[in-house]
Amino acid sequence: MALTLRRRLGSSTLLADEHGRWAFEPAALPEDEPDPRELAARSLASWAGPARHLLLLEERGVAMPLERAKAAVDFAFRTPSSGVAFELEPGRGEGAAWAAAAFAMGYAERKAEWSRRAAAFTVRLRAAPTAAQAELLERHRAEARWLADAVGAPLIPISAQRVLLSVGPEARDAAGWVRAIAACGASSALLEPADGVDASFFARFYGEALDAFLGQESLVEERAVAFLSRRRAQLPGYDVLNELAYAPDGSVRSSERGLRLGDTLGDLYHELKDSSIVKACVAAALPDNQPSCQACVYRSHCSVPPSRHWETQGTLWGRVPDSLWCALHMAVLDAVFSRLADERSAFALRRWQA
Amino acid sequence: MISVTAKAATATLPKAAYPRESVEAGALVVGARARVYLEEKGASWRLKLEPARRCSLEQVRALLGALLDEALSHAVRQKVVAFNRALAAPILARALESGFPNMPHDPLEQLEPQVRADREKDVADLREDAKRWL
Repeated sequence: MALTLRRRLGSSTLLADEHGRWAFEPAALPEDEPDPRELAARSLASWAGPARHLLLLEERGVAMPLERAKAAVDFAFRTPSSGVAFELEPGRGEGAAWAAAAFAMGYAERKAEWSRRAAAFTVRLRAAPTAAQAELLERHRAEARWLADAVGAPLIPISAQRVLLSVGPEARDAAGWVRAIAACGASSALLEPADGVDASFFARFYGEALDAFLGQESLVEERAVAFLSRRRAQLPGYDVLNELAYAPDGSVRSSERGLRLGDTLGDLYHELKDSSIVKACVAAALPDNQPSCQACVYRSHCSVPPSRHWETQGTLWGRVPDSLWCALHMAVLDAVFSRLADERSAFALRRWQA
Repeated sequence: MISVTAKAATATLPKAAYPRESVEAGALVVGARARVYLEEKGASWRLKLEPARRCSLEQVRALLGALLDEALSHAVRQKVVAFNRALAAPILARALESGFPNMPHDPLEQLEPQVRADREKDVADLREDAKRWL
């Protein structure tokens, strides 16, 4: 008999079991055993390497040299997934960062052809691309991800398939920003808490934005989708499981803001499994290893990226009772699950999962 | 027992609640912000924390608090990890095994020197092409 966990959400009571099945009272949780194939598919035991490889093409004014870009692509192609997804971050860099982007995409396409695998690209943009940049994206069938700060009135959007909206303490007009995101032609967006934002403010903004997202026909919020999937490897920015990052100096990091794991020229991908940081990052994703997460109603849906805990608390495991990121995740999950209690919102959220 | 001044903080901790590795994990959290000394006294540790730079009394107290929070949290986490090891360890082992296989080098490049030469030429062309952006 699975343990039943409870949480009060407004006037409803959410019930969940350790397998992530949930119901709102007075409905009850299913009594039968969960489908073992579904459990296996969601389990970390079936994880097949990082979902994406983030190439940081410019950092503190230093662009990634072409040889480092080549080494990063080679490193990524040693991972086991059948398709290799790259996200390219040219920063505010000009020529040299874009030279690295052009080379990395061209080389990754060749590697994909030679190894009979797929390569996919997303390029981050802060402003509308120049004609040459737009041509480069088109040539490599790269998606654009618009990076925007939700400060002041929503900006005039640029054309992009995906959006990363940074939500800081100055963020305003959540619904207006969602309209701007829709006007991009984007199919998905990720709301990211910025430095200095507190959990209750983010929860309010996220809740308003979520209602606006649910009112859009073909636009999803990526964090909600990832939480509902109950797959840790899909949690945005989760160290090692979801992403690896490559810096201009050749460092391989556990994530964009993560810890250094090795070097693209000196280390091999499969050697990472011996890294104590990698082991800690993967082990921290298991709720059974986290004292306070064991009894949390969202234990099957959530896991805080260890690098976030490292940044804020100086430990990869995190101390959940005073963790800002635990509070942020709880706020997002409360917002998502409180909408699941409502039939119309629940229908839209189920469509997102599909 | 805890005492705090603006120059240092000391605490006497029972070994049963604070294993040595947990106190070490706590010291990692304060990192370069303080120097931490540990002395064994029977069934207790005597811990002394000296901030690396001038601090107010509250800041020293906060540093000690962060260390002790993490030490206790670590101690509890170790118990939980040990309790659930039979459940979690096989999953972790499988994840590390399936996520980090030793992928072979490209066999075609190793078998055919011409393939390697052609590909190197291809990459050199890409490199030259990318330099147009500079």
